[in-house]
Amino acid sequence: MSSDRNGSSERITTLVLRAQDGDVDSFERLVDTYQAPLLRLAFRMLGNRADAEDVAQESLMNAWVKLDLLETPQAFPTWLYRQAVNKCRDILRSPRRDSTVPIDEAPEGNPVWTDTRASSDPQRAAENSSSMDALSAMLQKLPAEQRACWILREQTELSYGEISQTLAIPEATVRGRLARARKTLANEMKEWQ
Amino acid sequence: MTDDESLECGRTVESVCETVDSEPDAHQRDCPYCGEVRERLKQLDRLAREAKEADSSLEIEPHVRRRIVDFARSNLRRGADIPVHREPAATVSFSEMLIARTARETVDTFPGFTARRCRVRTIATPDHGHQILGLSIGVVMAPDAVVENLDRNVRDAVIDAVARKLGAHVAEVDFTVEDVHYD
Repeated sequence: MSSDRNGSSERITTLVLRAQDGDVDSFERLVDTYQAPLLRLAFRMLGNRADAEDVAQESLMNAWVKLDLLETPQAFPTWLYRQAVNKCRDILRSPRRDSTVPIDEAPEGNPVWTDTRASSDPQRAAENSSSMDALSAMLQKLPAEQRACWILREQTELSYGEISQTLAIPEATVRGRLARARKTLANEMKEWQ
Repeated sequence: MTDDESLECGRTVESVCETVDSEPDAHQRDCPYCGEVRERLKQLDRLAREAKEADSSLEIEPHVRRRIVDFARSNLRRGADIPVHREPAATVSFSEMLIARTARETVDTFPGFTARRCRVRTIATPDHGHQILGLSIGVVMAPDAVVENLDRNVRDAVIDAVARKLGAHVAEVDFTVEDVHYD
């Protein structure tokens, strides 16, 4: 389970149940456990740190408000990731989706990525910037649903079953989307070489 | 590669993905299509690992974390109001959250036990104005914890703590061991 990578599943379940009882200290520990995975997921989905931070914040606040609705505390990680993916979808559909974080405004000590939507040509990105920019460019070219599957699998390290729960789609669909994403990315790698 | 997930040789990209971390089979060794995909997927895998490593230092800013926790603290879920003392003219109540927290904190002081949810219920008849309460507490225990402690000591400690700190009278404390915690 994903929770095992972020602390034992018993520990996460205990924190969720206590937070459902209104215990803010337990919720705070859940925030500390999941803020980074949420931020990294949203960042790879959106390619923009400011938007990603908004997604992480809103997902965690929303989790606090709706925690009572979560019937299975063991499902907390996938429930939380689903909220983040949904918020990413909203932002991707938003007409204001044209913001970037200038490099000199990125917080010190954090990795810096430019929003690659402005230069979504992987070859050009590879020539002009790092391999990370090239990967970001390739990811941004994927359809959002495939991108979500790939990031949840490769970066968040969820199992097929967990991705299925997160995205509320059958496991077979997860496998299909991942296969298509990998094929597209593998093709893009040819361009990048 | 063809337009669908199949390669020209008839195999799928997914089948190559699934075996990319192991030695190529006889077909893959001789197949240029599979070989090409294997090579690109390995490069992609390397890139993904580099990205994951780069992302590992990515965390939310401290002020954002503070905002999230402040939001939770200012939007407390207090649960039901539990009457603890009833007089003809007035009723004193505590939030379920407060009673549950007192009970949980007490359970947590016993080595090997961690409280989960605590449900509070009122038991029918007030005794001289004191509403009698019952608690149901979910517990996680360490493998070496002495389960009899729940009956012998933890129950009395919870009853005592709720009476001492809140002045509420608890008559029943039910424990459910929900999990064993291996750390």
